Amino acid sequence: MRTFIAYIKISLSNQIQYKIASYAGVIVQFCWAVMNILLYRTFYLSNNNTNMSFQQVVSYMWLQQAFYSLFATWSLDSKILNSIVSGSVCYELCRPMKLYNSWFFQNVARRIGKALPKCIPIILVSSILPGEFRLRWEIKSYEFFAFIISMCLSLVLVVSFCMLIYIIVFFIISPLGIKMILSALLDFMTGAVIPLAFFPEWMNKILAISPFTYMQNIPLQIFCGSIAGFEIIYSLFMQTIWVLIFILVGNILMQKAIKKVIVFGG
Amino acid sequence: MILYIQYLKAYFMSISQYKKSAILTIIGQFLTSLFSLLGINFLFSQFNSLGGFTYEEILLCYSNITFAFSLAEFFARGFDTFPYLISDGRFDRILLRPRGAILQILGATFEISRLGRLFQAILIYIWVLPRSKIVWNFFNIFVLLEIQICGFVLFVSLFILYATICFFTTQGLEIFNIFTDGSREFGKYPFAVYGDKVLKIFTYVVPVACIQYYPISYLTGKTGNMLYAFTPLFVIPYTVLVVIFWKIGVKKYTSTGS
Repeated sequence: MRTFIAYIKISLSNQIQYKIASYAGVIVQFCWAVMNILLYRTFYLSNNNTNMSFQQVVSYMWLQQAFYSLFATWSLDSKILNSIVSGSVCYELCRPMKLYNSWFFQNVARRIGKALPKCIPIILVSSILPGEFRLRWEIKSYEFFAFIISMCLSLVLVVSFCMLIYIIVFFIISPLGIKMILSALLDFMTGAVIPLAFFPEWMNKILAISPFTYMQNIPLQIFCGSIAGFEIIYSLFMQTIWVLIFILVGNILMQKAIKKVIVFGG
Repeated sequence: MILYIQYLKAYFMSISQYKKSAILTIIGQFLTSLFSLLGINFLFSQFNSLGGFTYEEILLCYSNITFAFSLAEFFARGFDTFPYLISDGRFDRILLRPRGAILQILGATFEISRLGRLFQAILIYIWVLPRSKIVWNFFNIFVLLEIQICGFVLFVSLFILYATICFFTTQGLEIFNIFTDGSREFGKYPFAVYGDKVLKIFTYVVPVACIQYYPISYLTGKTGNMLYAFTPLFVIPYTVLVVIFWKIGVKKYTSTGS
């Protein structure tokens, strides 16, 4: 736990070092949300009869941009990738901490450190905007509680999925191509391109048994109130199952990878 | 020009050494834009139209932007990585050589993965051009070509503008992405759908709307105003301004010393 907090501190102070870049990120994210909301507002003029109301879409967009760095699946730690490709990972192996755990906590901490300075200003500003652009806090207390739990589960799920990618890189060495293909696929399946609520029925049925629905879609939908009641409990359960599967598979694969590691000298 | 072709040849030589990786990145880019196309498709299965534009008309706009932007990215990638050229002092070397700086930066690198998007844009054209209910007479074909060429020029000059700003800040400005990546992302739809203010920004500050909303409203018969058919030409004075701005930047440039 102490190491974990230390990791978060490192990540946060990294962000503070690049203050201007951090502000810029907030502004970019803010504009992205505004543009999306404007787009959907025009869409809703033609038809109001969809799975999500416009108000829910507004909240969804704000939260999605606010927590962008928390759930961006493709955001892999280039330091870790480089250490695998260049072979300096063998130093990590010398440390008195399991490699899986160390990378896992590093990644969780990095995401929290990146997201905290961004989400606070975005949520604050969007909550006081006038009229239909405002982020609505029409959430009941138990739903908010579920939202927080679901956020944590999503974060852990995304990170444990990224762990699998790091481990795969052990076996294939060149990460660029697979990273591009995976990021395209994941952005779409997790609802980063358009909210999953706008997907056709049959596709959502398939996605519901995949891990992708549970990566950012669930917490955002809980907050907007587009899933409620028993569905929330079921989603939290599925999130937990996937987290456990990914961590288990990740640990097994990691063991295999480490056994196989042959570092070229030099 | 000969020099530029030599640069291009050298780049393809270097790519051919890493064929597999290049193909994977092309597939990756193809998938990215395929999914954003699917996104448009799904949205249109929920909503009937977008601010008076039909699905086919939006696709025409989308393929125009994708075509122009990916072509510009393929050729002008060098300006995208320009902050690194300045920060590690490689730009000084470029200035020492007896050739134009713009040519050398354009030739320094290309971005082959964008061919994936380009290919996608062509596929959409094949699908959408016969279905768009636009009569493809001589003048309308001219307008379409005008959109593509001016779009390409516009995006290249946006990349140059981005690089020029680096002269004054030495760092890349992430904020500028709102206009480059933003015009690709949100330019999928005619800028009028975002409301009046956004349309004005993307007409007068970054004239992306000139290569999509205005000429497309003309093509689809939403307006009879002939002026709208020629708005893409507004890109030309804009590019001249950007190049002048770039020249001023080069003159003021002081090396970072590294």
